[in-house]
Amino acid sequence: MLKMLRYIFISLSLGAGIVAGAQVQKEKWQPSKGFTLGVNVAGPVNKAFDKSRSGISFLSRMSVKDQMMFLAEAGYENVSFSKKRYHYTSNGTFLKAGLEYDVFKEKEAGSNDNLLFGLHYGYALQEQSASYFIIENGYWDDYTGSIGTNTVNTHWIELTGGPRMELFKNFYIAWTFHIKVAIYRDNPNILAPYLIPGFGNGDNRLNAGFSYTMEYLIPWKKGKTK
Amino acid sequence: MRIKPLLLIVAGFIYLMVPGGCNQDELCLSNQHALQTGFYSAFNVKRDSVLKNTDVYGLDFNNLIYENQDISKMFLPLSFQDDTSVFVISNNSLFDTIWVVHSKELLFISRECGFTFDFTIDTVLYTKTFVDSVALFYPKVIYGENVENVKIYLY
Repeated sequence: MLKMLRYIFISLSLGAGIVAGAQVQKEKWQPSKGFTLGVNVAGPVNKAFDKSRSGISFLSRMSVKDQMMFLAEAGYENVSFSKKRYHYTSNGTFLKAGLEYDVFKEKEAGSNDNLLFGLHYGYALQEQSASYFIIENGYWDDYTGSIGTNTVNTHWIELTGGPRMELFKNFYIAWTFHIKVAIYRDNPNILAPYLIPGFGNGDNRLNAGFSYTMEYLIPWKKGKTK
Repeated sequence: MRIKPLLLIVAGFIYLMVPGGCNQDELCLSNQHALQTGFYSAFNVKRDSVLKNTDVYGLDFNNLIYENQDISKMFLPLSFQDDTSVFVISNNSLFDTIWVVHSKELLFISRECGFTFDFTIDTVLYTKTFVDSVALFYPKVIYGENVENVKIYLY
């Protein structure tokens, strides 16, 4: 619920900002082109709220056409915790790639801001194990056991949307809303992953989430007025 | 178009301040490894039967599952350690014993609820003091299902 409220608030705020910006006199402006190197701070933020998780990812966006960008992201996410019913460890990496379309067609002079909607493919490879688990019987003896290390491959498709802006020259910040649908996962019956790197909750086939990124643009073509 | 920088920074601040993810506690079901049985009259199979003042316990186990109760159905927890769970039904100084032969399969329920076993009932054996016959009606004991597995017909 908090997540939804947060999304609504952010959307309304940005919507207001975009409308305000649209009233400014426009010139035919061709924005900078190049590729960015950036970091997704979702991993460190998650770590701050959930000590059992650690991870980070790095991304790059590259201009393909006037309003089209190619995005690639790679990162890792590890989980380790002990619950009453089981102890769990997972180490994994993920890759994402896809195209993003900038719906800001007419930009005001000097603006390199974007409102990006994208379609990405994601893949995660992780090793997980449960070094201990207990099943309580309530009458007969309880059962304790362990699950050895097993490998899980997950593939998913992701729809994204969100604004990106140039905060300082060539330095961008962006937040993105993600809807992710798992299309394939192997080893589903041994132990469903607690968390799939880059995808989220392993119990769900459909996950939604936010990311917040910071990027630095290495331009090969500077923005200019036509 | 141009995005107001302050708004995106505020959005980032909110993102940092509000924990991500909905941590809904999933309801974990208990006693899902119990064989469900019902008592019926051997003379009128459509009529439920009640055993009065009955004790039920596992063989060689001191703890009672039911103690001096009037019961028309029983939930008998199956053993995780053995392939046969043995139960004694004591009714007015008469005793019957039921052997439930089963196999089990490990199941991961969810990240909140952890693991359990699902069971497949192979055979049910019994003595015939006040029990007339036993019918294995549904041989699976599966997490989340609520189905009567065994019908016990009484004299």
